[in-house]
Parts: sequence; C-alpha cells; structure tokens
Amino acid sequence: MSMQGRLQDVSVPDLVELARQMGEEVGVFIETAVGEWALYVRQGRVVHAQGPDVSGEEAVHRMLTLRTGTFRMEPGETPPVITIDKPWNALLLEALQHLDEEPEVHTQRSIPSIEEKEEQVMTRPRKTREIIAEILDELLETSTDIVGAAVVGIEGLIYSARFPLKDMDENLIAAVAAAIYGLSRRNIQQLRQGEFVQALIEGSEGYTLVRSINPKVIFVALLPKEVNLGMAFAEARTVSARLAEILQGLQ
Amino acid sequence: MTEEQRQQWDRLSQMMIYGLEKGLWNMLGEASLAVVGTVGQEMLEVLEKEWGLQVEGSDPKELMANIGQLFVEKMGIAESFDIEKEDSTVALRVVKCHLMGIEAKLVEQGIQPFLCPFLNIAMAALRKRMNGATTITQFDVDPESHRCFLKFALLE
Repeated sequence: MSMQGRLQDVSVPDLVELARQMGEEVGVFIETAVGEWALYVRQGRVVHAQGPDVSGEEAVHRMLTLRTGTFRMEPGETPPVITIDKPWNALLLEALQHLDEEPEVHTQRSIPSIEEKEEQVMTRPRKTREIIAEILDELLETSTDIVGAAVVGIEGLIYSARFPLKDMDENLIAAVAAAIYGLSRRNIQQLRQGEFVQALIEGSEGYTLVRSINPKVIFVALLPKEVNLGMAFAEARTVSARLAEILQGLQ
Repeated sequence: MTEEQRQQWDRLSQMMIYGLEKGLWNMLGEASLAVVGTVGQEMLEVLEKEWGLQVEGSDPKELMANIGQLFVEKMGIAESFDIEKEDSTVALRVVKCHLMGIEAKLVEQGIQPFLCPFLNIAMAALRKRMNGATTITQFDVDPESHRCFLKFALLE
C-alpha cells in the first residue's frame, strides 16, 4: 500500500521507520524545491539514498534535514544500487552528529509554511484555534488514514474540529471524547499501566482514536474501516507532538 | 409538603448533587469538567423553553450580569454577585450561595466542582451567545468568606 503526504506532517525519520516496518523492499521518494530525493529500504535496512549531486550515507544525512516538501512511499521498489551497509541506528546517530555542522536544506516558498507560521505566532496575538485548524486541514488533505479530526480540551473545549458528517453536535463530541480520555486514564491508573497514551474504539464502520496531546488537551481522529492502523497511529503521533509544541508555546 | 419535609427534600437534593459530582469525579477525574457545558446547555434550554426566562446579552459582561440577576434576584439562591471583565476573561464572584456547603466539601477533597447553576449556565450561555470558545480557568470556593469565584476565558 503506497502512502503520500507532506514532510510538514511526517518527519523523514518517521518515514524511514515506517518504511522499515512495511515489507521486503520499500522506496521513499521526496520532492522539494531544491530537487528530488530517494531512499531505499530492504528487509528493514536502509541500503541506498540518492539526492541532487549526492548519494549514500551523505544523502541520508542531508535528507534528515529536509523539513518541507512532498513524499510518497512505494512498496516493492528495488534499489538500483547498494551504497549503504550500516544499521539504521548507526546512520541516524551519525546524521545527528552532522546536523550541527551541515546547513539545513531549505525549500524556497513564497507562502510561509505552517512551521514558519508557528514561529510567527509567538510574535503576534495568539490565535491558537486558527493555527490548530490549519494543522488539521493539512492533516486531512494529505492523510488517507484519518478522515476526521478534532483537538479538544479535557474540560470539553473545542479548539478545532473537522468532521466529515454534517449536523454533528461538536460540543457533545468534545465532551464524550473528554469522558473517554478520563475513563481510559482512570483505568490505566487503576491497573498501574503507566500514563495514558491513546485509546482506540472500533465500530463496525470505522474507528475513533483518542490520543493525549498533553495532560489537558486531546486529539481525536476518525479512521475509516479499511485503515492501516500502523500508519494512522504514526500520523496521530506526529501531529500530536506538533500540536503539543504549539500549545506549550501558547500557554 | 410541610416546611420540615421541604427542608428534607432540599437536603436530599444537595446530597444527590454531591454524590453525582463525587461519583463522576472518581470515574473521570478532571475530564468531569467536560460536563460543565453539556449540562449547562440542557439547563439553559429548560430555563428558556420551559420557564420562559431568557438569558441574553450582547457582550460577556452583560450576559454574566443577567445570569447573576436571574439566580440572585429572581431565584434567591445567593445573596449577591459582582462581575470582573478583562480583555479576554470574565469572572463572576458569588456571595453566600445556597450550594456553598456542597462545593466546599468537594474542594476539601481535591475535587473541582462542576455542577453549579452559575457555572453551568454561564458556560453554556457564553458559548452559545458569544459564538466562540469559552473555558473555565478558575473556580475558587472560600467557605470562610462564603464566596465563590468563577473565571472564564474567552478564546479567539
């Protein structure tokens, strides 16, 4: 099953992790304003990477600095050549060591990205709900595994909601999601299973995912019946982490 | 119903509110606060449709004043109230509320009260009339001075 989206929603390390779990051979292709990039995974190992004028480990290092662009992930893509023979963790560690030395690969955009907007928001009047709404819009535009989403406070406040069905009482949905969070959290406390991370409810026509963004705010996602749960979880994790940063900055 | 029976009924009603709040808190924790708006929405509907009492106001301060007048002057469930309005918050201070005993008992146990006519109706009315998100940011109960302080944030 192929997947596509934007790097603003799923980071390159997360993409590689997904590719490593997907199957025998997977290709990750990234298109940015400064060129096209490709990374090949075989049996969970990154075996080749190629970018503009660079290949092998160096290409991996550069790819890990990409922040904007579109990607697609294709199973069954055979690497044209083998240029890397290192475990992924070692590659990642080396890349992290290089990050301080390497210049970040920027794409040229006339319209500010969401990340840039997130920075801008710190210097202008705080409109938390607008920023969150934009993030949810982007998520739903690019995701094939999440068809509806909302960010709600545990006291039932709706920061933003994007649900496919009309005539939904968003206030009630928020209150019920908060109750699911409260019950799940209490259950985990009683059974001494650590901290609440997420709850998944399966219906005959789809799923509802409730995930903690921080102790006061939760992310709610609607997933279709035919969903890749691993992908959906990864997307929910990524967007929740991003929302957590925004909410932290605006508190 | 005799006066004594009426007093017993009053105690029973308060016991039910206390039990409901504590029981829900034990199950849901802080997420119990999510019912503030949904309960308030139903209460507001009963007030407006069945009791014929309109909670109106073109701005948060006016809205809160109308809620205060409704509960203090018309229904007599508290002695007095006053309102504080800042840029993005509006607060209601209630003096000698009839339900003070319940709320204080809950607060003593570390439970944030979430069933209170002022709180529930104000939350629902603010969300409905101001066409925006509202959240409760403070609910202090001070049994010594017999005052409650409810503060709402009006989000952009």
